[in-house]
Amino acid sequence: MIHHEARSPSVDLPKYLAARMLPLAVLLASVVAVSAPLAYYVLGMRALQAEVQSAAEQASRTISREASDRPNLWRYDSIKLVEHLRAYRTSPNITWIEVVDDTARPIGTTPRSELDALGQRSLLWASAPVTIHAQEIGRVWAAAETKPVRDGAVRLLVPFLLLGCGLASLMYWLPIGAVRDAEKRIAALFQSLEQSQIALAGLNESLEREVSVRSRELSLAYEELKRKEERLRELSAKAIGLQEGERKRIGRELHDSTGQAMTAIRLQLQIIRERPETSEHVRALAARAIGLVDSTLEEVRRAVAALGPAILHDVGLGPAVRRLADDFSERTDIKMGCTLDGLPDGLPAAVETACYRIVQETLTNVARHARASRVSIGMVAIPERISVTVEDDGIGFEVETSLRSDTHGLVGMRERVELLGGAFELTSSPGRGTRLHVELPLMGS
Amino acid sequence: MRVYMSPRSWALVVALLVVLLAIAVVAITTADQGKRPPFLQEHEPITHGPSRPPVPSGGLLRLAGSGSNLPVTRALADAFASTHPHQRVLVHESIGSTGGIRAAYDRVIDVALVSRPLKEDEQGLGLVVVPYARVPVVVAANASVVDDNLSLEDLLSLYAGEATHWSDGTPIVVLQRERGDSSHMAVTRSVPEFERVNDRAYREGRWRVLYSDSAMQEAIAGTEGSVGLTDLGAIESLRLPVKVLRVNGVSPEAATVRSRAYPFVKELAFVTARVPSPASAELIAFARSARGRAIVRDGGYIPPDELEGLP
Repeated sequence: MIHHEARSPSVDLPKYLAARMLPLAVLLASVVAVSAPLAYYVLGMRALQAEVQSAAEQASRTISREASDRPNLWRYDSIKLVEHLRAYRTSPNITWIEVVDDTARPIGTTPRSELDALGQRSLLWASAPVTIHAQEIGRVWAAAETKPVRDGAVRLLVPFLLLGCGLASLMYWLPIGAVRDAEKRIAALFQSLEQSQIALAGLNESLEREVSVRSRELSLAYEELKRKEERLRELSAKAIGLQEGERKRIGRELHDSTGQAMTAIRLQLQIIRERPETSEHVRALAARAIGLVDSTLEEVRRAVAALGPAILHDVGLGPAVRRLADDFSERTDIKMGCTLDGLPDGLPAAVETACYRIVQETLTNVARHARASRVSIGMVAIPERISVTVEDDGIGFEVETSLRSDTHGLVGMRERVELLGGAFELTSSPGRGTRLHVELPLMGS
Repeated sequence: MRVYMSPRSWALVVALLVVLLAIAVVAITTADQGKRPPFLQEHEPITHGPSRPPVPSGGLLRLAGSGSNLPVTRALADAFASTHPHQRVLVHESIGSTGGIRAAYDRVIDVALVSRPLKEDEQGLGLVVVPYARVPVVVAANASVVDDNLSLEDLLSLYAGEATHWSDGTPIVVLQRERGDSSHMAVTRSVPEFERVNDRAYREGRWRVLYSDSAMQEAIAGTEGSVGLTDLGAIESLRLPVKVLRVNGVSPEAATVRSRAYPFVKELAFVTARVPSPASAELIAFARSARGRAIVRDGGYIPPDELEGLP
């Protein structure tokens, strides 16, 4: 959240910039206004000086030639030449040409008044010597009016002053305008940001409220779900327990009453068969009946075994599993490892049966499909849960495929575990063996 | 309200402006520096007396001035020297009428030879003018030129650069004398328009300008297709190989000048101090004597008394 204090400017930027730019603008205007006319004046005067010097030298060369021919009367002979040079000077800037003799007096017929007038004018003078055999016998003076250069420079002052003021104004106003513009934009941005922040804060608050409500609802739903799951688990465990109890009862009934009745019938039939007075026909009937009774007894034993592993009731989970392993090893010649740790007595019947059935079903799968050489069984109980692990080094299989097709009774195994609120983990891949790990809760079972 | 003035910036700007001003002042003063000629500081008027001390003649009679005067003056001087063996006479090469007048004023020479009237500023120098001959100013052309006659309009066209070729197709090369030349002045007296045309040619630098009669005569003789103004006396005396053109069909000769059929003529005169030296006075008297006039006449010139009334 950006606070208002962060943007409250302690400096008025346009005014600050204006105060800094004004001296520069004044300097720029002054420099531009003065520089060009000054440069024009200096360069113009230099050019004029060169022109005057050139005119003087040109005239001096001409007169020197004349003087060489007339060393005595040259100063008189040159008068017409000087007048001609003066009247028809090559440059319009050359105002005057005068030739003086060795006494520095003009050789021409220029009236004194005209010379005085020349003295009053603003002229730039240059001279060159008139020589005969390298000896100076006079001097040519040439003059040019400086007024045009000065006037030109003065004429330039006004436009360059205007130009300087224009440039200075640009230099002054452009950045200030830009800063003002930027400041306006920044203010608008801040305003927009503020509104966004307010809207965001409102949205945030409403979202928080919504999230809180939803969280509470979710939490309640979760609690409810958990309760229901717990209840379901309890009911499942109870159902399984009841189922197992019912199975036990039926098995016991079959074993105790039906088995004993059948055994008694067999004894009776055996007595009838072995009595001497029994006819051969009856003996044969009795023998056939004994056979029927034996097969029925076998069916009853199988049904009892299917209804529930009676060995669990007889010896408990640990010894039953160990015996199962021993029988398996003996029957299949596969090496077995069995680690049973901390299995207490009095485990819930559903859990004991589930553990026994899982091991039994797994060993059956190993015998049928795994082509394993070694199988290990691990069973560990801690106060809250019991874990069962069966591993083999067989050919393995695709777990997902097997679960989808339910070819190995795996789905039933998993459902049994989940009904008891446990965790089912099966790891296998072709050629890498198989590992089944199951954890079942003991609390509340 | 906060104050954003920056005294340091202003001080810097003022300092820079002062530097700029100083540079400007230095630049202007150095650019404007020029040595003034010494004659502007002098206050004595140069017309109040000779500019130089007189040069002693040493018994020599010195004459100098316009080149137009030289042929006839030399003839007169030779004749004068033969009749006055004690008197040595020296006629300098041309220094022009103006130079002659200045030299006479400065007493560097004894007699100035002029071929034009005195200018206004020269009339105040206290000098005396004594005419001794008149001579036709001729339009002389190079000997190769096929044409032999020019109208006054043709003459103006020549100097204006409008006529560019002679009738045989040869390019016309006009030769000008410097401004104030006596021959040009003589033509201007008859054809005032000539001054404007001549002056314009000067300003445009159209033609080559020569500063003496001898240079003009040599240039006409040596430049194919050339034409210029000189005087008949010089041509005849020096037997110059040039062609003298008729003007408006009139040949320049004593008879046509006397009859005033030929328009261009100039007067040759001696100029001396108000009180000439005895030798100068003798020479002038000799020139105006019958023998002198005969010599003038023989040279193709016209003695002054035979043409009274001419300008």
